[in-house]
Amino acid sequence: MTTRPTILVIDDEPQIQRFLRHSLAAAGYDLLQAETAAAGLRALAIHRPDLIILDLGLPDLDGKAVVGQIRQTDATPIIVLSARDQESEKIAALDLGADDFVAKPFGIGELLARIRVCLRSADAPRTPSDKIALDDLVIDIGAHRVERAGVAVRLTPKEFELLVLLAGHAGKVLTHRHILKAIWGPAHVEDTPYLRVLVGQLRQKIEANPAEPQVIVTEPGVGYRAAARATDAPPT
Amino acid sequence: MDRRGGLPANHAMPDPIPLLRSERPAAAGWRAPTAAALALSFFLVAAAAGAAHALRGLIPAGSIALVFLIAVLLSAVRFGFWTGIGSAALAFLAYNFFFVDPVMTLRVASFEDVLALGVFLLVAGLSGSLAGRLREQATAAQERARLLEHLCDLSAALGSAATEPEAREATRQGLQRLTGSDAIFLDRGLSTNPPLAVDDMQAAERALRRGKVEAAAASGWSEGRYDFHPVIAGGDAPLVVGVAPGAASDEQEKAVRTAVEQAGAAIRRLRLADEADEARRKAERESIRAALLSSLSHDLKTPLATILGSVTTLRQFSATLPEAARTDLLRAIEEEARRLNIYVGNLLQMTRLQSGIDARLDWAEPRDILQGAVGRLRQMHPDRTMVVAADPDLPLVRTDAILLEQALFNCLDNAAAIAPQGTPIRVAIAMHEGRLLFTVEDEGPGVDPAEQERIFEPFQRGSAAAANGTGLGLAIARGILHALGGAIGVVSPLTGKGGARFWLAVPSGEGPRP
Repeated sequence: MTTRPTILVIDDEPQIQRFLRHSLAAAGYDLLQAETAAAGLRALAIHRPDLIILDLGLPDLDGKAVVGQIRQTDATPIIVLSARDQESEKIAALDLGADDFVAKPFGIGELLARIRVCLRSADAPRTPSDKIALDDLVIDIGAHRVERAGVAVRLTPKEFELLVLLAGHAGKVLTHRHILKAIWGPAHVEDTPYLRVLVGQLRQKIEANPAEPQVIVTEPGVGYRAAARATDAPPT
Repeated sequence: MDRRGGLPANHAMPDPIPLLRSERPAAAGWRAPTAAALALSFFLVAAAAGAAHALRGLIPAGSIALVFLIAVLLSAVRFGFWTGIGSAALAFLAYNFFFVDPVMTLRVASFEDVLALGVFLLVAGLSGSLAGRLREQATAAQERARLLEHLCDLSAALGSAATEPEAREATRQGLQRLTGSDAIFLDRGLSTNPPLAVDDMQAAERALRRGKVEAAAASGWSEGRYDFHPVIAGGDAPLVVGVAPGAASDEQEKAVRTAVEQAGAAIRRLRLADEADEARRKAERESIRAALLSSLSHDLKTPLATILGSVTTLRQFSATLPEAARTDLLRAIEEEARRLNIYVGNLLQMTRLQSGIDARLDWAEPRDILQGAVGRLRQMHPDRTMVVAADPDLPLVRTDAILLEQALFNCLDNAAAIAPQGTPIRVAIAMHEGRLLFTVEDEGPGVDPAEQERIFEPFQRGSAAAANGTGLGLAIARGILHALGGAIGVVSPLTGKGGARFWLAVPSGEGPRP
């Protein structure tokens, strides 16, 4: 067993801090707590936590600014906590480099799942030659091949690119802007209709029931998330 | 489209049928003598001839001409330049015909008579024209004064107009006084009651479209009753005003234009003020909406997040959680559920207050109300010191004791949330100017003068307010006091000690003393 990962929680609500203290400890994490952005940034510099949970409604600095400041010097994964009226701020925070979000109110299972995904992808960056398994799909990135339950699936180059992008960040939300920029380039970051059409096509080919997608999940208003069960396929 | 060809749309051109316009008010400039003026002048000269005939033997023959001069002067003074000249000519002929030898002919016998007639013509013509000009200048000055007065009146009326319809009505009346006939406002709808003639509609439509004066008379519309002047009123609702065509004079023409310009400026001002008002109201609505959303989101979601997070933690880690953590989580759930209950209760009460409530008035003992509110606060904040003072000689009041106690409690709760622990809260009741007055004093940070009105608005927290307040307590208190016919306010800082004093006053409806 390695050392316990440390999580920094920056939230001004004592009640939220209170239950997170118990639940994160029970889940096997060490905890640092800060009630203001300033205290949080200080704790980050001193203690180098493995992950940051950041509330968007801090009293001293807005969430976007905090994410921006952290990302100037630091790649520590950030999960933002947001309420309903902070939709646009949440998206901006993700575009600025936050790794994922959890909307209030949330069950602890949801938060812990996000934490696991973020910590794992921070540990193990993939190389392009990997094979990735996602649900019942096996994606051979080097050979540009996709198999579903052992049967080859024919994807267009753009569909393949999208699938690889999402599978490479399995379990994490990717914003529309992020995906559009990665696949179509920086000139097309506003062209979400392209993306909706492409996702629709891809789901037709890889989902068991395209009407109820399990592999590529929509995060309404934010982006898409590949199912979290991706694992590195055993080398053949 | 333009049936007028190359004709300029200038309705100041000379009126083609002047005699038919005799109903217009007198004005300066070239004006044709009226038929009545001509008839009266003729009568004056005839009367002079009669008088001269009667006086023939009594005065020297040379003085006969003076009698005629009187008639010429009279008609010139009364009817102006051209009538004066006409009278002079007529008098010359009459004098020659009746009084210069040989009489009853226009022939002249002697050289002296020719000379005398020549001098007479000169004198009559000169005096007639001079008197006439004088008269016309006086008339023109009067007319200018009249127009100016109307313009001033209009200007004052426009200045005091508070709405666009008022400004339009003032302009319409002003134009009516200036031109002596009715005026009419039209916007893009072109709708009037009764409907306009087709020709007028077309002229108005062109004026609206082109933003230029569209003259009914000059363009030869047979049915057109109005000239249409565009009103430069700003905004995106163009406006024209129709006035009777064919101004009586340049002055009147100018006065009409000035009036239309004034109207435009006034309506422009009103429209800008309206826009600014609307923008302000919209911003207010937006800010209330934003405050409501953020309050709902924050005040409902935070307790819910705590409850949901704690419950799921208890379930997921039931085996491994230490006993102390388990107890703490359960306590957090209980506290947050209570907080939610208070918040939802406040929201419901606010909704009830906003949709109007029935206060159940009955005789109540003021000290009971005070004790009720203080008791509730002691339950919630057992550590808080409260200093209670009640005037021993208070009458019963006719009020809704339950609502009033709630309002007082909200003020106490607000003080307890804001003032630092360990500082006392002073609460008192007394009669003041026929009203029952409750006061709640704290030693907290006080209320900034700029916020003293705003803190009673729903979802508006003062800058010193506790983060976990609902933003509703004081709004509810104010709603209750209004429903009870009372008032609420805050005084801060208090002389010499800072803090704030909230006061609640209700009409005592004085009843029997206990």
